[in-house]
Amino acid sequence: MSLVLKLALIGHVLSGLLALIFYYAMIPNLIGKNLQPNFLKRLSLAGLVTLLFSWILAGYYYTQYYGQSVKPIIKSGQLPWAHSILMETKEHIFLFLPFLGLVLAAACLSSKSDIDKDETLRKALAKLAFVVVALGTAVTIFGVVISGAAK
Amino acid sequence: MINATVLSAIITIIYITAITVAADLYPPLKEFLANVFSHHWIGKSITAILIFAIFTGLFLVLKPKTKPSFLLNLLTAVSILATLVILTFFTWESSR
Amino acid sequence: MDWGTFLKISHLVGTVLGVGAVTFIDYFYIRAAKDGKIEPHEAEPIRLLTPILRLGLIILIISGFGYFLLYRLTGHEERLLNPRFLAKMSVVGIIALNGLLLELKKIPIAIGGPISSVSWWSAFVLGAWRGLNLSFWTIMGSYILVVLAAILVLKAIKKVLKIEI
Repeated sequence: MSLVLKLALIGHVLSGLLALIFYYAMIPNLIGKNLQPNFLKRLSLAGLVTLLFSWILAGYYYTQYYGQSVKPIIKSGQLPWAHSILMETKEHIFLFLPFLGLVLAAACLSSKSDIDKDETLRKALAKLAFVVVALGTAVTIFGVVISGAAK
Repeated sequence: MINATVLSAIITIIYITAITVAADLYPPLKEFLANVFSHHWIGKSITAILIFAIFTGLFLVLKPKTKPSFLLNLLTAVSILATLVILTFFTWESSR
Repeated sequence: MDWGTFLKISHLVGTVLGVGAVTFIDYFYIRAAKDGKIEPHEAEPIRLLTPILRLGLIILIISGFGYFLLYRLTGHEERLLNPRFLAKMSVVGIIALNGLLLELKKIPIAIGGPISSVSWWSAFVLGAWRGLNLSFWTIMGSYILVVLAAILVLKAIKKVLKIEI
């Protein structure tokens, strides 16, 4: 693996992890009693930016290396389903996340949003943030198992 | 703006799910994406972005009056359902 | 200093902060709850320790994934499927989820508290116990039993000390 590919893999994992932390932090802020609109805005923006980084770096690693060098090893190894189920699922579910992140950012950054007055809206946003965290966690766990199967 | 992005996200996620299943069941579609965009996954990513952008623009003009919290809950439900569809599909395909 | 050593130190720092904070939170909670109500000044140490706990968890998770990358990039991928490693990741996931549920008051302290304490100490033990050679399900089964025991022990302590909360 070249240095660029190593950096892409490291960047993909770490930026994805940071995104999860930001969205995780949004949830109690949305539901709790002490709403901090500016903090929420920063979290939603940071979450979106880190997700986009993770997307681009994942795309580079996946299209330039995974298909030719990792996938054959997994498919001929002891856990072929790590590719056929986990990787196939992961690479497509991941595509949902930036759009969910965009929605959360739009809601938090919009000046017309009633986020500070509308509790029902905040709860709905918290549920969506939780889904981002849950899907992101699933995608992360799949990534660990896929990497483990690449030997 | 919230309603426009939420509705577009719902449509985009449904599109991603549909193109994922369709491209795997109909290899020429996957090949088409790979030929045009250099890789099928890049093709799905770019077309998803285009669909999101187009529909967001459309809904910003149409200004749907639905309650944002209802649409957000719908988006949450669609995301979960789409995930289950994709997981089930690849599990089924793997067992074929 | 090589990356392995840097990650080891970071991971230990995260563990120390998390395990230390949760242990002292438990101590201050039991001490404060003895008379049936928690005064604001009694809640203060718990309030001050909570950000330390969160910081420990963040450092633990990031350095944990640092290990994942190190194994992946140095040809030790088989370690990623080690039952002890997978169990530890699961327990850390439970710490994060439990923390969120406690913050949102979706579960009572009587349940969430023991889960938090047992999980942090379990993660610490799983990390330190190199020779542990059990299956993932045996480790997780044992962990669940210890959590249930902790919940019952806390209930017994509250009964003996006549703590209402």
